[in-house]
Amino acid sequence: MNAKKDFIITSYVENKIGILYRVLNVFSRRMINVESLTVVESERKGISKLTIVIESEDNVVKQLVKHIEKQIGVMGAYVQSNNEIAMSKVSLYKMFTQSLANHDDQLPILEKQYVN
Amino acid sequence: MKSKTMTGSEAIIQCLLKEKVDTVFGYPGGAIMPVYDSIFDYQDKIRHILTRHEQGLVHAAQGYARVTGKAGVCIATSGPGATNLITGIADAMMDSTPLVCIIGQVPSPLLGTDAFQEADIIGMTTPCTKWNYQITSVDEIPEVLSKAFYIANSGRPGPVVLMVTKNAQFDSLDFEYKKTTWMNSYKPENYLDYNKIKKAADLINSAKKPYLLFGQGVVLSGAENELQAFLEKTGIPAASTLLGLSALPSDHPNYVGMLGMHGNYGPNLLTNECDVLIGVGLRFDDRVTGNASKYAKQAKIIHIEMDESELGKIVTPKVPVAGDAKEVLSALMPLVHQSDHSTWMKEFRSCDVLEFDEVIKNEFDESKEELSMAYVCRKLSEAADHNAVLVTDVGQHQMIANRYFKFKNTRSVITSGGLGTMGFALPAAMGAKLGDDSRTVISIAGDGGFQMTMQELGTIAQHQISVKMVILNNHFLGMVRQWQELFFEKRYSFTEIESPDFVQIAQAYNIPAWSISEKKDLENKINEMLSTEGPALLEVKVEKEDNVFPMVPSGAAVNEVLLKP
Ligand SMILES: Cc1ncc(C[n+]2csc(CCOP(=O)(O)OP(=O)(O)O)c2C)c(N)n1
Repeated sequence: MNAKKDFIITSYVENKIGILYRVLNVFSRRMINVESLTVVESERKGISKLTIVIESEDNVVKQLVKHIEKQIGVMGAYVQSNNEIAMSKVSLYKMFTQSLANHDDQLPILEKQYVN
Repeated sequence: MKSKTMTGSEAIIQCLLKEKVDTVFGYPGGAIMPVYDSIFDYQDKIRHILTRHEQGLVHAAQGYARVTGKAGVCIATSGPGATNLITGIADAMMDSTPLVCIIGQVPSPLLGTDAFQEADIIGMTTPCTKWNYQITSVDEIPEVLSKAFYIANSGRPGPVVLMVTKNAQFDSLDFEYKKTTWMNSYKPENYLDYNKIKKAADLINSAKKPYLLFGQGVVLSGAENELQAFLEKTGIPAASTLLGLSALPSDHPNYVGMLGMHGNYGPNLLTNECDVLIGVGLRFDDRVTGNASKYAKQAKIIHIEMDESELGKIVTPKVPVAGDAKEVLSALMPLVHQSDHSTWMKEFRSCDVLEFDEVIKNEFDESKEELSMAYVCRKLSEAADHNAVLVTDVGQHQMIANRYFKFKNTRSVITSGGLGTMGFALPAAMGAKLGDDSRTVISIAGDGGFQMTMQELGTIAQHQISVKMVILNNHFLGMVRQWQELFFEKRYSFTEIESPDFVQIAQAYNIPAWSISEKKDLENKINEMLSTEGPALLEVKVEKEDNVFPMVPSGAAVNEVLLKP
């Protein structure tokens, strides 16, 4: 029951210096390795979204989330275990619109991909 | 109100005035000089206490905060000034003490260049502060200071560190101050879940052997009266953590004693006998729980605590209640039944008899020539009419003093609980006396701990701070020696300690001082010390190899508490 598995912790934090350190310290002081981390701007201006993957146990991770939420500058934190999430790989490309215009034939393909 | 041009350093002082700060503890240096230049003009409004070391000033601010309930304010310079504060900041974090530390920093263009006296204090203090922030632009000053006081004082209190670069202190701004009462990313208040309150009340009402433990949360939320009323209505026996002491008067009929490794016998033993355990404003520290996997397994636990991250951290409560002790106890009050648990209470009282016979009686054996620490502490408490603020250092004397002192008023116990910082007592006592001059403040330290911060005798002398300092000199780092005796085959590795003549040291500062080693002199000298105007010091040479009992050996369960080796 207490086997280790992957968890994905999502946290919304103020986009300010030092908050990332505060959040990551919750893991490092307990000797928990962060397997992956992404920081992007969220839908709300000035708020960043952190996505953190760690290996841990249910009861530990519940406590970790509370400790993250307690940090000043953190708006909220949520956790999902790996098997609660359907993962898909998404790639984003930036293209010159000019090149699209030159290749009208590609547009339907792109739209179709996007909808899926 | 707007004033056209005010320097950042003056704005800092103005912010302090807006927050009704009347005392600051500080030590100047290069990076904080503009603030010092400004504070020079406000000496009639703000009392600045110059300590002899930054560790002294932060512990003094802690003592001040613990006795007043208001944030203690520290001012220090960058680099070494700031690093010297860190022990106290970490201590305040552990013991939920509100502090606002205003620290100078090198000019912002020099940040990250290893400039003279530059240290990454934000990096160093992030793990041990409730919040920290580096101000690099003068315009940030009012808002950030306002937030700092709000954060330090609200919710579960804690230390805040503000680094202020020198340029921000020199530059000018239009000053306007708004008190912070709300923040986007910080919600100190809990929303009471009445379902949980109801469940808790049901459990309490159906319990045969309910037992209540209270911690400093009761003091911090000002719930002393609510706790007392709750206990009187329900008839539940109650024990205190080290930091909760004095929240309930020692002679209250429901009070059964202190918890913890060196707490009382019954309170530890019977934790593993009760059927419902109610924890109010405490965090189930390992010094309280002993081996947590053998802690109160038979009991249904109700944990009332405002810091949600404490719920479920050490013990798994059946009913976790996120909330301020005062609010929750008030909400529970109409739901709990008037009841009587006198049979259950008798179990505590019979444990007391055992503890008296095995431990206490020997400590007070009048025929014994040598002075025991317990004897001295009891006499001190009596001489002060059980009304003093007791400030203790860390070690055997700390456990003994807190065991044998009695308390009538709340906020009478100041000690370094979570971090266990030797050297805490003397400066903290100084701060406590400055915080509440109406009270007698007695500091008790060992010969080891006293020497860690005894430079503050200079501060005490300069400001004539009327603290009564007691050194219990056993010529050992006693607590470590005790462990060596019990668990390391009496191999006293570097725990014998020689001390200077403390009387001469005090006299060098013009502080009246006495040293005694005989019982017959004790009461006289205690009275002389207490009635001396201004600071006074009493060294008592006590039994060298006295041990503190009861004891829950580390790793043992609370019901494995020992009355003797
Ligand atoms: C700063 C610091 N260093 C080391 C310790 C470890 N320690 C805990 S108690 C103790 C002995 C204290 O000796 P003393 O001050 O003489 O008091 P006693 O135990 O004899 O009453 C030591 C060294 C500590 N708590 N704090």
